[in-house]
Amino acid sequence: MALGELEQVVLLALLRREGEAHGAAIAMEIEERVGRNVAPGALYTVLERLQAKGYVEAWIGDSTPERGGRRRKVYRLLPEGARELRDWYDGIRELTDGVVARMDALAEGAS
Amino acid sequence: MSRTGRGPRLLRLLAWILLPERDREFIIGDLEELYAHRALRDGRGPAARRYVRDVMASALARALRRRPGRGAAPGPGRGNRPSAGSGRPAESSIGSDVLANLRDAFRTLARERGFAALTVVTLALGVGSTAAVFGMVNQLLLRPLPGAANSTSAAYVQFRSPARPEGTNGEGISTPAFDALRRDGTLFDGMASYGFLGLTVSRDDARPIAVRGQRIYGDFFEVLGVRPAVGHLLEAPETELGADPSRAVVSERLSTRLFGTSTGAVGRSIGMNGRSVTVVGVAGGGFRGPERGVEADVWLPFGALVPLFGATAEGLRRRDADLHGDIVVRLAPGARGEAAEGQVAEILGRLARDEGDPRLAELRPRLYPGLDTPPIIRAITYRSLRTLAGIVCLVLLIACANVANLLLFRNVGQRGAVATRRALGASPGRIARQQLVLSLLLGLLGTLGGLCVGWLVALPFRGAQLTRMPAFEGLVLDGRVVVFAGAVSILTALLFGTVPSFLAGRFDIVASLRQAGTRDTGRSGRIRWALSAGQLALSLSLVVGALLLARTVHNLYAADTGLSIEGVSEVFLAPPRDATPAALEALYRSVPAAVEALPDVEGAALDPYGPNGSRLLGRIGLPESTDDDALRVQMVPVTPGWFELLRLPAVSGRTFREGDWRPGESGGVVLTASLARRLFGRTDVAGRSVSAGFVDRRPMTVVGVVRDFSTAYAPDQPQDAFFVTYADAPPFHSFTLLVRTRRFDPEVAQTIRSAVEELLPDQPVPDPTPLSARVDDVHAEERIFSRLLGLLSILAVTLAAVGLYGVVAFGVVARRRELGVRLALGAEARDVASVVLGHAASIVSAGVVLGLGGAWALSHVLESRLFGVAPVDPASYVAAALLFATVAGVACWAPTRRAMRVDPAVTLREE
Repeated sequence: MALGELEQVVLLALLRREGEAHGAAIAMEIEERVGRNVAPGALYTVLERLQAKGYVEAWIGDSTPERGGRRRKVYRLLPEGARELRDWYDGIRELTDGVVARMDALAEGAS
Repeated sequence: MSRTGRGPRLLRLLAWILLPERDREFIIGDLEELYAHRALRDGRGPAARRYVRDVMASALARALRRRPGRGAAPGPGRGNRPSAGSGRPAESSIGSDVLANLRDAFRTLARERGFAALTVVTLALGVGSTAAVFGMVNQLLLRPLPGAANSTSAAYVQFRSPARPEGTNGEGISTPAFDALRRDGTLFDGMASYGFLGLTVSRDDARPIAVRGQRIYGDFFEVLGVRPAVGHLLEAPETELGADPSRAVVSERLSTRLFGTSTGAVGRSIGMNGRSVTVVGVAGGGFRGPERGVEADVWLPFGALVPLFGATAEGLRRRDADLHGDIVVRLAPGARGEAAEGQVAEILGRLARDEGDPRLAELRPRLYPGLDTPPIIRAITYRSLRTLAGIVCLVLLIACANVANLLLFRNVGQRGAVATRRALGASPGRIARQQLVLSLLLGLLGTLGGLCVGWLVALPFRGAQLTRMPAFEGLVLDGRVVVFAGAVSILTALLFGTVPSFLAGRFDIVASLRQAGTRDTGRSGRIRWALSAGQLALSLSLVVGALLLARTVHNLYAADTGLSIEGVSEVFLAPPRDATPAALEALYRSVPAAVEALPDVEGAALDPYGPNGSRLLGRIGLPESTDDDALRVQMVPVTPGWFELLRLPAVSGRTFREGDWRPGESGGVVLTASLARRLFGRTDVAGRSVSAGFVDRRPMTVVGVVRDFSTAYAPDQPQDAFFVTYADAPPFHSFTLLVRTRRFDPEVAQTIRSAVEELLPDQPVPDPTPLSARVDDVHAEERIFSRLLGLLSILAVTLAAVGLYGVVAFGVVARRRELGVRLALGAEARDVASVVLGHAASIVSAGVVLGLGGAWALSHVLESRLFGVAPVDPASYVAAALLFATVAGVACWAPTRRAMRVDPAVTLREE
């Protein structure tokens, strides 16, 4: 099953957080790494989809004072998801093999 | 605790409102956490802005999200931990929630077709009748005056006095006084007076036509906001005395009539009352003057009264000539109506002192904002429409009761299903939302149906006309009517679909599950009993009202006015203004003679205005009486054939003969019996002398006394009147030809017209109209009311019958078990029927008792419209009650039969 772009980003962020994180942590990870803002609502939509596909699982975690006493919903990357991510990464590597220099040159020329 | 870490409370509230229930806690938690993080990094302002954007984006994303799990079968080996919220059916977001509820609602309606159809039809009937009446109000009052951009911001001004109260034409003021108002009225942006004129208009040598015009004075077109279709509209200086009086503005309609196109008249000369007038412009936008219902086609400067109507310029300036009574104004920005009235009164008071004219100080200026209805009919029109609105609200109320009943009925039936869903974890909010969406959908369907019903209800009233108002065009679907119908329907559905269920109270899930929705007891049952009785009462009141009005109309037409008008038609004629008395006399003789000679004509006669037209007041008294003692009563100059034509026989002496009418000689006088009794105390007074006349009295001999007659306006009031020959009347410049024909069709009408046109070659001759049509006009309001109330009461009875049927039928279903037990224990079908009918009878009898009380109240509201029937008319009340018994019987028939056929075995097995 192909991954959507945001799905890739979310799975990678989850991976970077050692495979387990709640919404705010994933959002911060994405924001800091990619400079991209993902609204929590949108994030949960993606996560739900990933959950339905069997790539992540969720449970309800503890609450913290900075959340105003609200509980967290924590997601964990499942083996199925890691495999999918791996497949996608392999595909990209195949495709980019030997063309990165040309990609850079073209991008330079364009600007 | 430091507050920096937490998002502003307002933002949390926003998030809480916008975000769907599912995952709300986690999302808001995340938002809070992100805010804390960003507030440290970027400052609180940017963090708050991001918060808002994130809430919006989150809400949008949740609303648009696809449902998880759909299409993707749950695979094996999924994580062992339970997914969050997996124990409940998916509580979804705003968007998909609405869609899902809508889908559920459609399914419900498809499954419960009977319920859906009844509810929608009920709503449609209630909304439709309301929409029809609103359409009438909309068309008569709310739509702007054609061509007048200032229709709502302009106002009428009239002068009231004790002699000219509300509902009459106001008093007038003189030209100098009006000039003072125009000059010193600082609270007005503009002010103009107008007056109606009867004009004879012709193009070249074509036959003239009769046209209604207005003479205007002041910035008339500017006040009203009229724009020219072509050419130029008369400005204030051009309307004043001294300006060229032979310049006119015409309507697009008249331009088309005379020149074929709506702009063709500009720059042309047309004949008006025998003079030549130049058309300087055509008023645009279909403008027909400032009064709806009394439309004009020509606007002339005030000074045109001199050449066209023989007035003198001095006469128009006289201080005792009250020529300015109908006034339109625009208030200056910020000026208030009362202040403007005060200023006018103050200016008039000053004039009264300066010029020694106390009358001016007694005038009470009144401002009528908006040009929806002219002042003279404003009060009565508003009153009529209020009564209509009240009646139609009753019908709506009945429909509302039905909707409430039907939905309650359904809800009780649904208890089992609802309880099951509650038990499965659906929140009360979710169930309420579903109910809401269902009501909304019913409301929308009701709107569509209502517009159709409204159109149908309005259909018979197309062309109906209240006094001095334009004809009703039927239900015209403009935005306002649609919005109104939609609002009424949806509000009704929402309010009556949800509130009664709420009133009926929350219920015990366990008990409901056990009973599976077959018991109808407690509050819900009592509410439905009351609703049904209430709607029976309301519709009974309406039926009584309708019967009273129907009897009124019947009485009005059946009333003996003493004149036989069947087969008689009338033609209003105007001889040339410059006709000499001798020429007039010749016309009085030649017109009836020429018409009488036509085939199919039985007789012809003249009088000034026709039997239901205006009245001319003369003076009559005994020979020795002074002018002060003399009675001022109706004086009717007639040609000798008049009495025979209208079948008014003499009770003493005789009526006029040809020989009585000799120029220069008194032909004597004919009295009505009531006048003879007033003058002499008896009716056999032929040969006695009286002193009578129009202005100056002279001695006359009573030729005879005729039976009393009355007019259509007041069929029960005999007129005190005396008749004279035209020899004893001043020369009139208008008269009415009355013709009795054996048949009346366009062909006969045309022959009559042609014969008269030959004698009046330069004057417009209208088509003969049957006197009965005039009577119809006189009774228009009563007829409209009676028909409308009749129609509405039929709708009301239908609705009430549906309601009663619903309650009784549900009662049978609810008590099936009890009835089954009774039958099993040996009760006869008859006993079962009596149980069911007993329930129905309690509703009907309560409804009838309440309804008769309501009818009593309603009939007193209608009292002023009744004729020949008392508000408490036993026959109408008994008839309505009997009708009700019948309808109730029909409504109960089917449920009772069903009750009698209950199979005890089947019912008891259901246990």
